[in-house]
Amino acid sequence: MLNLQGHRAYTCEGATRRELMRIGSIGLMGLSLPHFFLWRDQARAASVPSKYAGARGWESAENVVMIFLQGGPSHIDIWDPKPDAPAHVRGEFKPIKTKIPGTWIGEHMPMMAQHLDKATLIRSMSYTPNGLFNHTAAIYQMLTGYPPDKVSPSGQLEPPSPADFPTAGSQVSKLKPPKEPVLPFVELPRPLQESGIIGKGGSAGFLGKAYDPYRMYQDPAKPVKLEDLLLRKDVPPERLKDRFELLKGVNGSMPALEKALNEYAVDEYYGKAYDLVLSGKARDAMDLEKESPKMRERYGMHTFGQSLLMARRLIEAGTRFVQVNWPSVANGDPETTAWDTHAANFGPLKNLHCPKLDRGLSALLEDMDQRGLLKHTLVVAVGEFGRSPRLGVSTSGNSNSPDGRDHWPYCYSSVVAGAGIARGMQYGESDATASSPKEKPVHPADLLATVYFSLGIDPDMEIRNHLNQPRELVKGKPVADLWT
Amino acid sequence: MKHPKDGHVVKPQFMVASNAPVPVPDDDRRRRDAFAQWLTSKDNPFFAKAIANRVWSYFFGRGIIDPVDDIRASNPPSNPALLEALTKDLLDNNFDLQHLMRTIANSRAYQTSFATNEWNQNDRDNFSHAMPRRLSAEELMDAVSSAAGARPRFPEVPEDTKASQLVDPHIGKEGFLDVFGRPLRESSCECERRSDFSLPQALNLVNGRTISDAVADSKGRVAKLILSGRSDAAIVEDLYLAALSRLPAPEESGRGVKYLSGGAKASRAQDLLWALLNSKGFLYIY
Repeated sequence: MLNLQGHRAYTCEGATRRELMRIGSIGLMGLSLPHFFLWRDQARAASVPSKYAGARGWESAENVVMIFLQGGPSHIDIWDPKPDAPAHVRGEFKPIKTKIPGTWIGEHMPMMAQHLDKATLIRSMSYTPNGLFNHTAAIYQMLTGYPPDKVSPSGQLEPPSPADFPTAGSQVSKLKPPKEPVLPFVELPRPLQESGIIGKGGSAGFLGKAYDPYRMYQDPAKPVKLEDLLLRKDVPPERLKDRFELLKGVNGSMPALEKALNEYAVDEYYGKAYDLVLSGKARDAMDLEKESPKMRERYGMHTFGQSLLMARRLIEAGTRFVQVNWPSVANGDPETTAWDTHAANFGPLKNLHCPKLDRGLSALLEDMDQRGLLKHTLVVAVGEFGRSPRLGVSTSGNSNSPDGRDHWPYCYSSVVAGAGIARGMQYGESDATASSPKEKPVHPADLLATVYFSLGIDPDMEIRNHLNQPRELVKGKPVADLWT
Repeated sequence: MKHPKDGHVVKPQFMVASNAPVPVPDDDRRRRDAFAQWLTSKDNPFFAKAIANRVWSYFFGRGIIDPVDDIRASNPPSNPALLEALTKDLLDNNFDLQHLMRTIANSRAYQTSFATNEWNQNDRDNFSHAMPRRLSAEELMDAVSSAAGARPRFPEVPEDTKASQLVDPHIGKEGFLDVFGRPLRESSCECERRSDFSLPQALNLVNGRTISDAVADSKGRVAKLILSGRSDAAIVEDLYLAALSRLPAPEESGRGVKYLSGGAKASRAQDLLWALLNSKGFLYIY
């Protein structure tokens, strides 16, 4: 009996591969992937209609590119200059005009200034952290929508755990799985990281590992090895099918072990691997050699730029959620392009960070717009916080150089574009020193709610955690005014 | 050192939250020696407990205090009496690890089946049933080589060096071993080793070189079996023994023989071995 709504601990609700295999006559081999996803979509459509249904912006996005600038970019130097503020606030950079009338940004973002007419610049991102002030806590807040206190009672940096709230991409790949045999959720070019803690706030948590992002762990700016995704010459599709049929038989003759291993979702992974290898789409999407040198250079011949280009290719192939993390670890050395500019701010921003961000992000917006991809793809660029408006003071307990800036979650900026979001608009405004929003504050949970809302996922819906307790998907309100 | 408030000279003391105070010698230079000696002695109540817990976790995939590197008051053992007994066993036998392992391996807890009933199916903390766990990266790679009769090939090490014999975690980097969670030995935390299952791992097992090359090895088990001219039933038997350390059940044998006779025998035997090496019975310790 196919059970599409039943709960199951540690894996998922809906049709799992295991359930599909139970349906006697159809079996794994006779069932191609498009059918599989069709079923899930139908199961989803049958649920109660959302109160948001029909609202402007609702279900306007098919895919998401989340550009996560881990480390905390300095909003005042990049997106929200304050030329009239005192020198110890305004810093060294001059403002420049943008395509949004009356909106100026930092002088080291000249290309973005020309392409802001495709995006909305939010200048009122804001939240007050729940005790913790480190990157990991903030990243967790940004990407799961929940403060980390419930899962990190010690207040220390803690590695990802199966009790964590799921990261946004995992939620989306479960609630709105792709229709094509592609990787549903890809994280490039490396996971989130602060010190030795890798992937906190970036894992599937209580949804189970089957919803973790596909992490490439390679630098797209270098030749990428993806032999695992390319069907081997000595194993044509028919032979792979035979092998899977045999495998099903071998596993099937040890039912007690199957039951004991249920929670590891091994079959789910094997099913995905099978579909991916046979379709070859993911392999093609990650092959940047298929792009012209001119296009590659437009994005920038560095890890960040090429990751964005790969993100665009993945979106074209049907991947639902691509997250491009800033390549340096959150709390790294600013001189090696980490956004965490305690020790040095203006030099690194001018010479290292801004040129890469400026080129890459403007290229993505331009390219996706030209290809028509921006119509149904939501692009978000944001970090886990901004940086202290005042130079050389400590807000987080870290020490700062005289020209350094410390963590500042109370006010910062983000860029959102695509999926019908207003083109060339500024949303929200900060006060005279970019210390707090003057109007229309946007909490990270609101930003996530907006992402879900745009995909047609009701932000208020109830989900179940690993203990089968009801939880809100996110405790935020979609910023519907982004669609005008 | 003088007390910052009242100025009296404070006697040196080791900062150890223990009922058994650490003797501090008067001679400055010997303090470190004394501390080192105490650290690994029977007087240190933490050392033996941590070792016992750690060794236990190697057999069960989970510590009595878990994670094993997170021993603190607010992360208590799931079974204090058990941990105490193991600690005592280790101390009574003068830190003899082999003895401790023998104790553990002979225990009923270690020998319980992974099969569960309605009362213990949700238990993960109390060792009421065995919990299958994936072979570690090196174990898995060596097991594939051994079952397929293929020879491991790592650059810059003597021929036939096994994955578990590699001294440097950078040998074979970004390959099979790293995908399966081999630690880089950057920290002393057990958590550096990952034993979860992921999509890249499935891709590697299904379509990567390690298993596919091993089953097709021209000097490997399948090649030898085919050359030996043995019966299909004997080939199936041999492959089951090599991969799962057991004979095939009659219906398994029947299915295998039927498959072998359905086409080119060599490639069909490779397929069967491929399936066995990808099966849960092979990937997991249970």
